[in-house]
This record gives sequence, structure tokens and C-alpha cells, in this order.
Amino acid sequence: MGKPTVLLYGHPDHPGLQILHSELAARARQRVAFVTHDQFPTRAGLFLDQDGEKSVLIPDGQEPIAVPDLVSVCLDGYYIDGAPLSEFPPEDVDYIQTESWATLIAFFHIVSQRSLVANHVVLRDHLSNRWSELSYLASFDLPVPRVLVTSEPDEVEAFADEVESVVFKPVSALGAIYRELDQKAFDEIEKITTAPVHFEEGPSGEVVRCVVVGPGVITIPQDAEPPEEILANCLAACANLDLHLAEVTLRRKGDRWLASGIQGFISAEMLEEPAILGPAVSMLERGQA
Amino acid sequence: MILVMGPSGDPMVEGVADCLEEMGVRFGVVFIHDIPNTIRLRLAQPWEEGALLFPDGLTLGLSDVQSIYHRVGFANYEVAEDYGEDEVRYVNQECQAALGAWLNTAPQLIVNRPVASGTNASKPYQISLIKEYGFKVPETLVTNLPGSAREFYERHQRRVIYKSISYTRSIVQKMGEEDLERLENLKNCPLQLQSFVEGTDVRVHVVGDRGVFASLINSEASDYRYDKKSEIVPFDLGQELEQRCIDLADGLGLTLAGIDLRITPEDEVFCFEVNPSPAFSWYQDRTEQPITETLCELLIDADGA
Repeated sequence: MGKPTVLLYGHPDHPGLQILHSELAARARQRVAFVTHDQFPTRAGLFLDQDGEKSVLIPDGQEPIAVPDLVSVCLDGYYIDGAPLSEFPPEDVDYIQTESWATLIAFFHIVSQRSLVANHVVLRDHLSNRWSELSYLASFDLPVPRVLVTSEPDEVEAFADEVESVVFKPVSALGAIYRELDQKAFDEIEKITTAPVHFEEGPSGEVVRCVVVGPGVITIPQDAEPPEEILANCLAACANLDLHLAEVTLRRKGDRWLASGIQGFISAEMLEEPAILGPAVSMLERGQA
Repeated sequence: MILVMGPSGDPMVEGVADCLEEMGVRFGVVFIHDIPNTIRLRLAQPWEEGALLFPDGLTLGLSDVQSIYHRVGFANYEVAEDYGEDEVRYVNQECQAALGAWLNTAPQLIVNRPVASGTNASKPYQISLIKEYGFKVPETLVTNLPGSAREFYERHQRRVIYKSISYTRSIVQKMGEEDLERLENLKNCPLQLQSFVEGTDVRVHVVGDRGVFASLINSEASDYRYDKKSEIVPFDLGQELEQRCIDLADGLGLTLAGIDLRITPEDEVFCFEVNPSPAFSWYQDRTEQPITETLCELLIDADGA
């Protein structure tokens, strides 16, 4: 048995992972290893057997990490970086990325059978685009913004007449920034006939964040007091996907509450709150939700 | 109304459509190459406002759809002739995302939801789930370490196969001495190795809880799918194994599944893979098993939204 280890995995510039890394390292209760996403497969070695008993991740420039030594894993903001593969032709890059991604899915699943993984990538397939994200929240009886996915300009005009403002973005892009449907965008509306576009009721009202750490939820601002039912449904939505670290964004306008998003991680802004960072780090150190 | 969606010329799509027609039920066929211009999709919250819009002003409310069988993801969407590469990629990406979003969240019976196909995106991930249903799985190693691959090959007396880790189609290959020279390539891309399992291939098609259709395959090749001389005959799994297959498909969220088994001379049952969008017509044509008819009965009996 080697050193009990907390593994952080993701982009080296991920602000949330950096905050967690600093705090875990400062507390020094476990070995902390931050393995950046650009290492696998060309600079990090992996031996993955089917139950993880002998599995090892060998990061570049760090001691090997044996899966049985993992207390917990925290991952976000990662993908198979194409930059280290630049010497290969495009079809080989595509193949290597696909195969490596499939490997990571298996790796983190096998680890999750033995240790806490916050949060396993496969579970977030349910939140792969904005429509799916909002439909998922709606399935937990959370009111969500009005949405229209269409390639019909007439439908967009009718939708714009029904709501105060409209924002839009590609259907496929979960993290893409919304554009406002202003007059300039309206003048080019015929372009949407190329392919469906995601239109949504524009955001308004006060933002309230429900931050989930394990079985608990903390609202920021702490005096926001969303209705109990909404809090319970936020927690249920996160628990259903085994999201040990998550954030549900609510918007309040008068008495009206909307759930406008769910993230399979906690934002850096929220991790800077001591009421959130402490429990998150403790959970990772204990390896229990 | 029942919807059948997929590429034109797809044998499964055509077979299901023909069968529904013979059964005299109300159904519609949506070909992928007609989306998004000839046939347009509207998704909306609230859900009831969603629709498919057909030529000549016909509109089908998504709430009026009772059940869907689809083979989406196997063909390109509708693009104009003058579209460049980037535009074609954009259209395919956005249409696939929209259709996938609809099929994942629709309240009706969907055969199968794209998200349930996700386990097939990583074979070693999928086999770790398969084990939970009482099936044996081959000893498996995924690695990008040449030394580890060599040690696995030697430890299994040089009886090892290799294949892709993801859904990328690959021909299963027996590892040989000549492959040892190429192991350094693993440093750039991981590989899946499995101990070779001696036995007879059995393909099982599960259709909900309505039917389990097993076919025994006689083939000399490592991968019978590419063996034109392979012989396929119906096979009786026995009740216990049939139930295990039903439970496995259900556990993976699949109403229709193609399960690849191999039965050893000692009657051990290994499971290699569960296919979420099986090309069942190929087996049906050779065994006359009523897979299409059973699937259609399932679609007809579904409750709808």
C-alpha cells in the first residue's frame, strides 16, 4: 500500500482545481497529485486492469499513482489535447483522441468503484447540451426558462414576442457564450435555416447559487432562502447523477424562481467561499460524500 | 403515431417500416437526409409545443408520437450542394445535437435513447458493467505501456487478441510475434488487449421483455462479422441465460440490444459487448427469427407521452 492520494485531473489553468489543489496541499493530510489533461496518452502512462487492483497512472514528472491508493478524485475541464499529437495526420489524431477518451471513461469508472470520484464523466452525458440540461432540471419539477430549438425564422419571431428578451447559441455547445437576439441578429435571422439553433428566454432577476457538496447544499447568498421544495429538487437532481460537487443556478424575480443551469463542478467563485471550500476539501480528504 | 427514423436504404429502418405497414398501424418514416430543411424539428419548453414540420404544411406534434425506433447517427443530414466542409460539419453537428437532445428527453418509448448508447463508447467501461449481471468477461488490459502489453501477452501464453477501446469499428485481431515490434507505438495511443477465449459465438437480440433471439455462429475467423463463410442458426439459451440477457439490456437502459456471447467447451458464458443499435436484420435473414415483428409489437403497445 502506497501513500493515500487525492488526484486532481484537468486543465492546468482550471481555477477551481487550482483552488482545491492549493488548499489540499496546504493542509497536507494526503498526498495530492494534480495531473494535467495534456499528459495522457503521450506523457502519462496507464496500466488499467479490469477491477483496478493493479491499475497505475504514471504522470510525467511525478510518482506513480496506484489506483488502490486513491482516496478520491476530482476532475473537470479535461479532454484529450490534440497539441501533443500534432506530428500525426488528422485521421490518426481523431483516432488517438477517441481511443484515449474511451480509456479515461473506463479508468474513472473503475476508480469510482473503489473511491469517491467527483464527478464521473459518464454521468454528465445527461447534461451534454443546453436543451438536455434544462430538460433534466424540468424532470425534477424545477421551473426552467422558456426554450425554443428551431431552424424557422417565423417561429423565432413569435417566440421573441412572447418573452421579454431572447438569447441564443448553437444547440451542440454547452459552454458557449450566448448572444443576445438584438436587431442586428434579427436582421440575419434567415441564416438559421441552415441548422437548428437554441433560443432561450433571456436571463433576468437575482442569481442564487445552490452549491452541492456531497449530501449537503449551501445557498449563496446565504440569506437567499429559496423555497424548500426547490432546494430539495436541486439536491435530488444532483444526487441522481452522483454529482458530489455541483452547482445549480437559480434566478429569482419577485416570487418567481427559475432553475437556469446545473454544472457538474463548483465554480471558482463559489470555491472561494470558506463555507464551500472547507466541506469540499474535507470530502475529498475523507473520500466520502 | 409511431415514428421510424434513420438513413434511407437502412435494412432495419426499411424492415420496421414494412412490418408496421403490414400490421396496418399509423406510422411515419423520417429520413435523416431530409433534416433540417425538408423536415424541420422544433423543440420547446414547455414540451407540448414541440413538433416535426413536414412539407405541404403538415405538422406532427411531438406529444402525438407514441413511440420511436431510430437509427440516427449513421448518416449525414441535409446539406446544400454549395456547402463547404466547415458548413457540412456544422450542419451535421447541430442536427445530431438537436435530434439527440430530443430522443434523450422525450417522454415516449425511444428505441434506444442515445444516452444509453454511451456505455458502448468505452468497451472496457461497458464490460465492467456487464460483469455485474453474472457474465464472465475476458481478462482485459488497457495500456499505453509497451512493457505491460508484452507482459500480458506472455502471461496469457501468447493467446491474446486486441481491438479498439471506443466505438470505432475495428476487426478483432489475434496478437502475434510480429506485433511485438510495434509495441513502442502504444506510447502514443492506448490499446485494449484481452485473453483469447476459446468457444462458440452466440449473438443474442433482446427486444424489451418481449423476446430473446439467440443465434449460434459457426466461423473460423477471430471476428465472424467479416467472415463471409460464417453459418448462423437459431440457438436455445435456456431460460436462466435468457433472463440474464434481458436484465443486462434493461440495466444498460436498452430496449433493443445485440449481445455478443461466447460459450466455452466447459459451458462458461463470456460476454464481450452489448450493441445499442444492432443490425439485427442480418441475423433475421439467416435464422427467420421474428425480431422485427417483435420490435413492432413493442412499439405498437407503447403508451406514448
